[in-house]
Amino acid sequence: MDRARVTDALGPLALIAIGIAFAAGAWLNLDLGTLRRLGPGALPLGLGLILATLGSIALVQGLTQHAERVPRPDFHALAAVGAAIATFAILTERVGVLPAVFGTVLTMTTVIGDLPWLGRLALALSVAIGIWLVFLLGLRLPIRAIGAG
Amino acid sequence: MELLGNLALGFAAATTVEMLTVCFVGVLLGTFVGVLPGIGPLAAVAMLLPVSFHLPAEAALILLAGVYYGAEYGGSTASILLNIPGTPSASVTALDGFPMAQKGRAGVALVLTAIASFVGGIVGVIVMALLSPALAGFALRFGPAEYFAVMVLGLVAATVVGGRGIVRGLAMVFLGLLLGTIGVDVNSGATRFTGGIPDLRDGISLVVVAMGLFGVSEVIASIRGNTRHKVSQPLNWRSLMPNRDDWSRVPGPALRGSAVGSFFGTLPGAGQTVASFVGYAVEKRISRNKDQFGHGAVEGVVVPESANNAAAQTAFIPTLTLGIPGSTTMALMLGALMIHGITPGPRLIADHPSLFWGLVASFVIGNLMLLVLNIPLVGLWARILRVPHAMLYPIVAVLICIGVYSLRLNLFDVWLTLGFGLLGYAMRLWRFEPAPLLIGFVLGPMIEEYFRRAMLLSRGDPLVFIERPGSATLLAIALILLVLAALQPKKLLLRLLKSA
Repeated sequence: MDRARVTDALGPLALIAIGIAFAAGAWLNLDLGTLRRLGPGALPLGLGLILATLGSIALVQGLTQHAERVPRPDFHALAAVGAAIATFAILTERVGVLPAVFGTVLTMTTVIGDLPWLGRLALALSVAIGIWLVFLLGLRLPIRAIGAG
Repeated sequence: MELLGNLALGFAAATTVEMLTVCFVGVLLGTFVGVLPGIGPLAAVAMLLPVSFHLPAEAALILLAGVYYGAEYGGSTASILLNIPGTPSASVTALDGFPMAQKGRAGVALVLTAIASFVGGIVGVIVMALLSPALAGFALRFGPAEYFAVMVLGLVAATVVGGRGIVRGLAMVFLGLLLGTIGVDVNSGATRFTGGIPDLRDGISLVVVAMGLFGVSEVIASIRGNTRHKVSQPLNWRSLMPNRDDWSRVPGPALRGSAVGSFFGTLPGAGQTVASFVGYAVEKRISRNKDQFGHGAVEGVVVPESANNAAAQTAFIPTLTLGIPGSTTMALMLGALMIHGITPGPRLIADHPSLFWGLVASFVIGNLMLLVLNIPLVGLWARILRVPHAMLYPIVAVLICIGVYSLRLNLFDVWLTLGFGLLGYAMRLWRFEPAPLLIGFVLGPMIEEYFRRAMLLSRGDPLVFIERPGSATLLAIALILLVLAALQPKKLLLRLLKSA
């Protein structure tokens, strides 16, 4: 079997795994109840089994019909967005939202790398000011602007 | 007349300073995101969800709805100027809009689409005001079995929306339903699938799922399509004015487009894109200027724009009267309602008249605002297309983070959003549609509730769903939809378009 087919099969396989995981979790840890009084585990068990079934059908379809190549992920973009959101989460906890916003924009534009340094700093600063004006002053969201939460 | 009284109530509710401001901000933002290819109305509505939680329910809905139909107005701008649709439903507008622009008539096309959009929007609102109370009155007789069947119909419709085949669509619906079970079960108090993480006890927030699947993954996917668009034509007032011949070709097509759009908008799963395609195909078949279609026919921009705006308004009918969201954006509207403690369904109009009729009135006001905003500002919107993406996407990323964080000042939600973003990106790569997942996620808890209640009332007999005529009919319709979907409606539609 060629590589494209194997990669393509990973999607349906993940669905089967998720379906079985939910069904097993419901079966083992939750009360299924009776037909008349369904317990908290009844629906997840059924839904999980159906998801696994659908995943299997999709798997067979993918293997028997003409394969469609799964495109190569854009790791550069993934890194940019991942780093940006991680920066926000980490910095907000330690230094507050506004410095975190500044850091997020700076990180993301640096990883993408198509703005000059001055442009990155200017953008980061103006976004932080904009967020402060709109969300903290305007909408009065109860967020700590600067300083550890 | 009852309708007039209701409308008076609605206008009284929608014309306070706060509501007018909210409506204006909504349609302005909507036009903005509609103009920009890359950020759709869906991502914009998702980003505004957390903000809307700080508003009263009426204002929240008016804001979100304004973004949604405002984007339909804006979506045509990029279609006409660049041949890149700003929203999916504006792709039909490009067929004749772009040729018009190439002939130096971009301004005319933009003005005519604004007018066509307005006609479509208003017709859609009228249909909504007339049809919704009747439909809701009918649905009031539903029991839990019927509600369950309605929800199933909604989910099936959601599956049909996607073009990736029913098995893949259904799989996403069930994944959404399962994700919706995470957290404390309201019936028994049992904690389900939280893995011992206390942040998950209240379940995953709709905002997190929507922002991750649509916002974050959209940014990842389009960040490097980093081309700056060139809009070469200068737009001035003289080039904007349609001539007498143009005007004579507006009313008929606009009304026909509105009629087609109103019809398809009410069908869950059909939506604006199908409406504009079918409207275009119908017009091309009956028009005297058949040969001009595809080469810059005025009708070719008027019909799809009136159709998709009419459909944008009538899509609220099933959403607000039955609680079935016809599209992902409508699912977010439902979610916004539920977060404000309002149960969508046939009781909504009776229980919250000022919400429903205020929304209807705000549609009229919003469409007027859009008409005023769009015609003089055509040049400005065209200029927005020159904003480089390098600046846009970091801003979007920050707005997503702030929006999610402001929900309950919980950074776990921010990390979870990143997780859903990666999931959404993987789904893109593996050709799974995120829309059915989100609709399943929104409807999941309600479906479970009605299913359990129906089983309780029938003393554990699952046949109740096919013994009661109401639920049997609805489930039969759902089945028919599934079969039709298996026959690949997109191909049928394309064939219709080609043969016309």
